[in-house]
Amino acid sequence: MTDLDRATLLDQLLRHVREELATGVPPEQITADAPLLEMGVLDSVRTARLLAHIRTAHGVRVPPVHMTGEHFRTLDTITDLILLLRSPTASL
Amino acid sequence: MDFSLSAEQEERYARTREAARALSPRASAGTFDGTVRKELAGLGLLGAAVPEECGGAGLGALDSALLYEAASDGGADTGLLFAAAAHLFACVRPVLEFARPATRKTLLPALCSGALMAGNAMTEPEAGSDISRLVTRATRTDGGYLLDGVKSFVSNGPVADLYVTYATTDPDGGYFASTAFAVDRDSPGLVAGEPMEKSGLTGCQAGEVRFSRCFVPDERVLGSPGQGQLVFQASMLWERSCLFAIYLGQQERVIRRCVQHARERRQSGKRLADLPPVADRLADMKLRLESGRLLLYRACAEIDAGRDPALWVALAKLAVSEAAVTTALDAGRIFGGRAFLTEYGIADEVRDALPATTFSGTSDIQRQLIARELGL
Repeated sequence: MTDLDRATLLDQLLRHVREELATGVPPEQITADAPLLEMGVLDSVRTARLLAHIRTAHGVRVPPVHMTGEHFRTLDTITDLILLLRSPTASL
Repeated sequence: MDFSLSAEQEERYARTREAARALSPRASAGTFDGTVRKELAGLGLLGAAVPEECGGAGLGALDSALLYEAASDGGADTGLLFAAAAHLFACVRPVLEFARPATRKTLLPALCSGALMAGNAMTEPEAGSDISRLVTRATRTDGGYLLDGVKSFVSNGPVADLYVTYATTDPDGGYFASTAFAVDRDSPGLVAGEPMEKSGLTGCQAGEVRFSRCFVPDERVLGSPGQGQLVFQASMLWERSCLFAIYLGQQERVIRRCVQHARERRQSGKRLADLPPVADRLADMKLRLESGRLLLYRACAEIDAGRDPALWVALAKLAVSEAAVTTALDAGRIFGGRAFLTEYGIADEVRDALPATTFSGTSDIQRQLIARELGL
């Protein structure tokens, strides 16, 4: 995984959250390091929809052990989580 | 694609249905004493979906559902089966899947044998069953948490020895705002209320549970702090599929009675069965039962296969619960005036079916879940 790949993945996630999740938050406020949980972006319904998107669009199922606030704090940390789970050495 | 049950499943179904007929009358009266617990455990209902090494029967979702369907088909009280299923799917499963190893080792054998009964303390007077808006708070303290709040409609609340409950630990945590706990009934600061007066599912006692600076040690946290939503959703996948097999058995039983009544009862010299509206109604009842059954078995098969069952579980819950209500009302139409006589038990079937479209997430919520799975 190169930095470019990571940037592409992050960009895709940014676009999905801004355009598809109906967060009610102005798109410019949803940035890579915006605190999604504190902003109320990731409530129960939108988290479930984001998880479904990660599963269908990126082929990654997030196991329970990784379902923590730490991993879902920002789009940066979510990107890192997807990359971690995609890696062949990921511990599931 | 083979839709038939295996010989082992057929045999277990028949054995359970027969044994359910012999349940003591106390089991229908909302009495959850040692005798009733022993009977339920003897049928495997309290630990069906728990590995044998933990004291359970080692069954998967489909076989657990079949067990409950068979017990209901055999005539076991719907409320009593609801009580056992709430214990198993909403409480024991979360302990199995999310408790620490030492806690699992301590609790699971007792939960499977009925030595401990569990209550599902999720719903709140203000928040309903919306886990993202829980008023109950868990405050961090040395070695654990202090719980404060009130839970309502706690299934098995008045008789449980252990409660699986959920509280907000991080109000700004969004999806990760809540944490799940397994709390002993005799914990200081926990008060279980009296049974509510319900009109249906009377075999399951329900009531309030109040927490007032109730200490819960860290080892009784289920999952990690902030994973309450995850624990609850996992338990709901089991409850919305396996528990609702009770309503398959109920419909099977109700339709059987209606067929018998339509064949035997004569009106104006004709059998009811020969009246097209009656026969048509019974055909519709059978269609609803079998449609729901296919969906419920599919949902269970998805769980057993380790695939994402969310769509199938929501479809099954919606179909089976709505079918249960409509079919119970249809039975009332077929039995006519007799449906209002207590001895026929039709009114009881209606009262037991009505809550099915509400608990475990209403029909409207299931439609929302289905829409979400469609990508809407």
